[in-house]
Amino acid sequence: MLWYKAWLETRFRFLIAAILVCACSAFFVLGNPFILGTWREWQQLHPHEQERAWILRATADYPYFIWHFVFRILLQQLWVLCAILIGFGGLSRESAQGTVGFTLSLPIGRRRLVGVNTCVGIIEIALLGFIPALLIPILSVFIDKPYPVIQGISHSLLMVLGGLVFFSLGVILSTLIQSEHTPTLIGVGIVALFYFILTPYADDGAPEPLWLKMIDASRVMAGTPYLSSFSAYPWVGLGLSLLVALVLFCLALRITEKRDY
Amino acid sequence: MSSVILETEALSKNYGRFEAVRQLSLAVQQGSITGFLGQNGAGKSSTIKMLLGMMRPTSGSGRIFDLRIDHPGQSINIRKRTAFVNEDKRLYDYMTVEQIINFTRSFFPRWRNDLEKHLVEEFGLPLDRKIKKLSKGMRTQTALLLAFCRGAELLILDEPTEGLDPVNIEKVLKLLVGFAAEGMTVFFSSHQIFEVEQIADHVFIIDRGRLLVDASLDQMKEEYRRINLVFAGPVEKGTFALEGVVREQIDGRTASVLASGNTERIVDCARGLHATSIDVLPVSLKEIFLESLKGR
Repeated sequence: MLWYKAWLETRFRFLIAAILVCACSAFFVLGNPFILGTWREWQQLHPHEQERAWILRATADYPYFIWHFVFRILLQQLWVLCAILIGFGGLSRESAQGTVGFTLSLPIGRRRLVGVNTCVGIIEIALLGFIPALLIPILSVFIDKPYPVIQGISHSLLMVLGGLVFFSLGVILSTLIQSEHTPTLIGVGIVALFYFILTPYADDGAPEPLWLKMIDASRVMAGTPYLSSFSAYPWVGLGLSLLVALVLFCLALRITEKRDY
Repeated sequence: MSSVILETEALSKNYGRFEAVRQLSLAVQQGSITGFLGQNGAGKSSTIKMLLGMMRPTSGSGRIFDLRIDHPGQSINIRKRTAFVNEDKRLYDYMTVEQIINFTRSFFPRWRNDLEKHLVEEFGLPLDRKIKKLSKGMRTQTALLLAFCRGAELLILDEPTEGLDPVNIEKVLKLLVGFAAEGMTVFFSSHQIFEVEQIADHVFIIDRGRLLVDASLDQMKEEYRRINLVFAGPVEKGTFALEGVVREQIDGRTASVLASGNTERIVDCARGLHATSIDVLPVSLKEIFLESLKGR
């Protein structure tokens, strides 16, 4: 029943996120002919302006187009936002809502409470991550541009594993800050700032400064346009991202176990 | 013969430099109804939270069913056998009454289905209504149902009747007496002294984290007396500084003494001082409570 409680607590966030992820995936697949047409029109109107390299490639290479918009930029940003929002919860939030007394009167250990909440959150963000992996190949049939299912699954897996760090950020923020809405504002603020700083590097492919490279989880989540071989995966970045996520989960658990409610 | 089911030994809780609970030593007998009285901020809720493992004591120890309250594993076993109603009675707003009953039932193998059915009818609880749509009274009733039906051996209630109308307060008090008759132990804090007086066997009064009174209600009724005295001439303060005197009020030729015992000796002392009038009166719990706090 704890799983059921965790699901009830997050179901609205999850369902809204699922709708947005579906809409975003569908927009870039079904909107592909329209977007390419717009680019062509723009090129005809401005024949002397040089196209950006990624636009040229995305025009000719449909999987690259999908990777760029879905797994590299917009859907990734949407997924990160959803992951961080789903991460909010736990006993600190219950403390702010006044229900912590009831929860802690049940014969359950705090470790189990944190564990179940975290597992339900991870399942939800994983489901959100795999929606595009399934939806994109199906919808691509309607525009006569095949998209390999295995590519979608590989990119989704990388996005989910690399992005666990954002979910753990949501968990730790809502553990540290005993308030209903402050962790949400801070979390959304951090994500917005992070992607604002990254925007020029993500769009134009400009080389990132070292400090940004060190924290750029979005690059790890996106990987390379084609994840066709073992070496194409960013293993070091993925490992570091997972390690940070694990440390944050453990920290949240430790704080929850020690805290007075 | 009854045994101690809940005990604390020099239990203390500090919030920074503020001492919320100071060296509190309590012992609650199995099958008793114990009232836990104190003003707002006296340390009642902090004590209860420590008993249930929600807070760690700064020092001292406590045991329930001979299990340590500050040991996370043993605390889970305590909570398997203990029901609790929180002061603010907040429940999960996103669940319906039926969902939260099913949810809570799943943690308690000895859940009392018969009592659940009876209380749903008795309180008139709408099973399909969301908790957030319930009135304050109904939320309190739901919280009480969720505690009462756990099949627990110990009920710890923090202001259990707050938010209820007089009719429902009476119902709840009757239920508590019934539970105690079945062998359940009830430990409850309240601001409503008349409730404590109506059902409790034993009373603890705390103030600023310290235990002021630890006595059975019968003992209090038997031993506590108000002695009103009138003398021919003025009386000096401190005249009745005798054993058992809780508080002495002197106003010219009249004196009023609250005694927790030793009444005969105090009356003898008054006679020796040629008191013209001596009235020995029984004392209500409310009076004892208020005088105990004034005496601090």
